[in-house]
Formats: sequence, C-alpha cells, structure tokens
Amino acid sequence: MKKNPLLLAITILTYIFLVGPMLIMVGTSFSSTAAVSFPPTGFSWQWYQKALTLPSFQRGFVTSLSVSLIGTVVAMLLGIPAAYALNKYRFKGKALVNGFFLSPTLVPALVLGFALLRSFIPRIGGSIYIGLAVGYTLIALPYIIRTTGSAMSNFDFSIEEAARSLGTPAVPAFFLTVIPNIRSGLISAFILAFINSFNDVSIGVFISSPGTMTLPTAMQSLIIGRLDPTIAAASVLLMLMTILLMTLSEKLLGIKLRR
Amino acid sequence: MALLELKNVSAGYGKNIILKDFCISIEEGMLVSLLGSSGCGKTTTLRTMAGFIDVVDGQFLFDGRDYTHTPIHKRGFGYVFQSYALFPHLNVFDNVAFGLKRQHVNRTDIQKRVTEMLGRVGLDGFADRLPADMSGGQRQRVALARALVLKPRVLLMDEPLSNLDARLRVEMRVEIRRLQQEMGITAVYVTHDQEECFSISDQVAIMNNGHIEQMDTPIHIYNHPVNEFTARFVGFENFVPLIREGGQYRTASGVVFDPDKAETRPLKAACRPEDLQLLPGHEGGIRHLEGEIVVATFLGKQMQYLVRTAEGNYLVNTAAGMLCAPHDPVTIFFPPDKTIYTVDE
Repeated sequence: MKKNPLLLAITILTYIFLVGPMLIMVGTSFSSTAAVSFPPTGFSWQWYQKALTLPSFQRGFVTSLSVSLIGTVVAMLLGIPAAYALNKYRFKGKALVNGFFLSPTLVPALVLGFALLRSFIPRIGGSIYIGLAVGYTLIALPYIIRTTGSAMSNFDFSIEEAARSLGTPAVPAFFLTVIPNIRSGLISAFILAFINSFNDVSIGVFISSPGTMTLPTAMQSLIIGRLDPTIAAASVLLMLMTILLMTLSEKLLGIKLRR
Repeated sequence: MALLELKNVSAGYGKNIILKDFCISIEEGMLVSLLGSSGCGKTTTLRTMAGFIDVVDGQFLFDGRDYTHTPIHKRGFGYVFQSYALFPHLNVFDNVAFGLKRQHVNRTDIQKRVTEMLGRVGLDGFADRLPADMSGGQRQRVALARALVLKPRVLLMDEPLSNLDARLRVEMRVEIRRLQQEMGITAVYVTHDQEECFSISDQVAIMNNGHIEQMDTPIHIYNHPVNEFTARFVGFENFVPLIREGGQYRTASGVVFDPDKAETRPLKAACRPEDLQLLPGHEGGIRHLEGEIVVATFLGKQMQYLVRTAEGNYLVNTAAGMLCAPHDPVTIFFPPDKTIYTVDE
C-alpha cells in the first residue's frame, strides 16, 4: 500500500497530542525530586508510596469507590427495567420517555452538581454522601439505558414468551432468558457507568465537605495547596485502573460481536 | 365437546382491536389450521389462546374450563414460534429440558424424557449443540421437542415453517403431522400457505379481516367454498355475475346457468382455470360463453389463454397440445360438476 506522508505526519502528531501528556505524567511520577519537571530527574517510587498513604487520597478513594458503585447499581436497577420497557412495548410518548432518560447527558454535569447542592442536599438533611450517590445515579442512568437497551434490541422477545409458555412465571422468565442473553451488555454498561462516575470532577467539586470528598476532588484540592509528583503518581494509578476496566469491557464486547 | 373454544372474543394490541366477537371451536385431537393473508387475525387468535394477548371481551374455554384470564405459564400449552425462539445460551439438551426443570422433574427422568424426545424428532446425538450451530430445520425440530416433551394437550404453532426453504417445508410438515397424530395432540396451526395448510390439517379455518369466512375439512373447502373470498383463496377465478330472470339464472348477455341451489339472490358462477373447457369456434348453449383469444401464455404443462367474452375476460388453462392464436374465436364451457355458485354481495 502506498503511504501518504502528510497523513502519516498528521497521525503521528495526533498520537503525540493524545499520548504526550500521559507520558509526561508517567515520567514525572517516577521523579526523585519534589519539583514537577520533565524530563524527570532520577528514579524513585516515593510518590507512589505517598499517593497510596496520603489520608485524604485514601478517604477519597473509598468515597469515590462506594458512591460510584452505589450510583451505578441503583442506576442499573432503574435503567434495566426502563430499557426493557422501551424495547419491548410500544406506547404513547415513548420517544419522550426515551429522551427524558437520556437527558442527564445533555445537562452539563456542573449544572447538575450545583442543582443538587442547592436544592437537593438541604432537603435530605445535608448528607454529602447521599448527594454524591444520587448525582452518580443520574450520571450513570443514560449509559445504562443506552448500553443495555442496545443489547436488548438484538434480543428476540419471543424467546421470553417461549419460556412463559414452558411454564415459567413472568419474573423468572425475564431472569432466565433476557438477562443471560444481554449479559455482556450489562457488564459493559456497568463498567462504563462506573468509570464515568469514578472519574467525575464536576459533581464532586460541588458536593463535598472536608470529611467527605471524592478522589478527583481530593486531588484537586491537593494541587491548589502544593504541586509535587504525588498527583502524577495518583493519576497514573487511576489511569491504570481505567485501562484495566476498559480492556475488560472491550474483551466482553468482543465476545458479543463474534457471536 | 370442543377442547378449545373462543366465545365472542374481542382481542388485539392496545386500542387496536383485531378480533371482534370472534368464535371458534376446536375438537380434541384435531389439527386445525388458521389460514389467511397477513393482518387477517390468525396470529392474534393463536396468541390469544396462548395467553400472550389479553382478552378484552368474551371467553376462552379449555376443556370446558374458563381459561380467559389464566396466566400463560399455567395454561400448559406448547407454542412453536416462527423465529424458533430457542434459548441461544443453552444447548439443545437444556433447551428441551427447560420446561421439565421448571416443573422440578427429577434429573434421571429429565435425562430420559429429553433423550427420548430428541430421538423422536430425529435429533439423536445433537444434545450438546448450541442453536447457533444448527440449520433452520434442525432448530425447528428442537423447538418442537422443547414444546412436546411436556406432553401438552394443545400445541399452538405460529407459521413454524415459513423461515425454511421449500423442500424442507414439505419434509417438516409431514414430520409435524406425524408427531401430532402419534402423540394425540390437539394442534392449532397458523399459516398463509394454502398448500401447506391443506396437506396437514383435519380442518381449515379461512380467516379474513378478523373473522372466519369458512371452517371445514380441506376437501370440502377446496370443492365447496361458501363465498367468493374463500373461493378465490382456493384457486377459483372466472367469476361470472348472474341475475335471476323468469325463474332462471342468466348472464347479462343472456347465457343460462343452472345452479342447483334454492336461491333467489344474484349469484356468481366460478370455475378454476384448469377446470374450464375451451372449445374451438363459437357454440351456444347452457354454460357456454362465446369469445375470442386475447393472450396465449405457455406454462409448460399447460397453455393459458385469456379469453374476452361479452361478460368479461376469463382465464382458461388447457393441455399444451391445444394451440390457439390471438383473435381465434372460441367458446368457454363451464362443466356442471366443476362450477360453483356464490352469492353475489
């Protein structure tokens, strides 16, 4: 195949643009001095050690992990039945309902966070934790409905009817036929929604208190105070986690595509 | 007494009511086909019996008991889908064992019954296959086995063969008929294929627009359709409008027809193209229409002629040996034993 030198140059530049900052981050994180500099001077694991032992990071990690998990799970409990109804039944105003469920993607998360802070949290007694969980439920819901919905659109609902005609009540029939056949969709929906919640800054920045903040918020407040390679190390760790989850999701999607 | 009976049932999808005041009754052990073009309500009728569609009004009786609002899973009817609807994540054995497991049949019995059923439908040695690795015909055999292994008294089939190629369809319909008779099951079979339905059914219900036009044995319907709709469905063409005049039925141009029907309303005489006789030249008489050839078409075994008469254009199929050319004068003869009369509505 003939190579176009211009295309090649653009491709290389794009990759540098995308991957460059990450490489700088990785480099910086192994620096042996406290200055954030690139190329790094020396090599050490000390910033990783610090990132993993910093109390605000540890608390932030636990908070982020738990509110993202709760948000994603609640969104799945709401989103799966919604996607099921949207796929299986024809009803009036279906497009409207569909649009409504996807609307959180249209509203900037910043606005969502602010709205939750001003109107929701005071009404639930000021619990930051619940506020975060609700915020992440809202963020996750469109992902869940989209991803499980597209998995269900490939599902032949007569399979579920077949189970019914073979003596299975409605709810077990759903779990015995629909769920096993959209499993990879469910797993990728979960991972996508979870990563999005976990990496979110916009909501976490509004909904936080000195005791309860998400990991990205804790990282942000650290940068404001002082800048050292701890932040780079923490970012690399987060990146690794995301890459791991994404790879898992891709693998699962791959299985589905081959089938 | 009928095993399955819909009494004045209204049913449909939401506000779209397809069956209105619908009645049908099916005797035990019969294979009854619902035949009609798409949108005639045949699938709606079947799905109503299965419980997939809620009855808005009327009653559904099974063996004399009111089943109108019995949930699907408590009816115990087998159902075979057009799309097979096998469980894609389960192998053949587990597909067939699905219903037995729901009934908590013990494992050795499941093993025995599934194996026996697979043998019956000709799928020995396929137990470990996944549906995705099987042909359409094999999948439909699995679907049949899955329904029949529960020994249902009723088997409902929704166009089970329409996704198969022509040769396989013939093979599978013989298979379905054999299983139905061997197991003494009452079956309702939905199809739009006239030949398929006539070949396997004890009775055929010809449906149109949400009601039954005629329900009878295939032979009776084939020879004695009750109205023009059924007549056209079973291959009658060449409808000649007749009016009663002076105690006799005549065409507009005065040709006499002699229906052996005690009837005074306007009628239509009809005959299949292959049953009409084509006579060379003009020849008057009872049930003789004079005309001329318009189009001659070679059909292989037969010749088909479009003949223009004073009453309209009619199609006649003759043996390929009889050759006529356009504009040749001919006479169409309606043989008395092949001519039917329907009320002209």
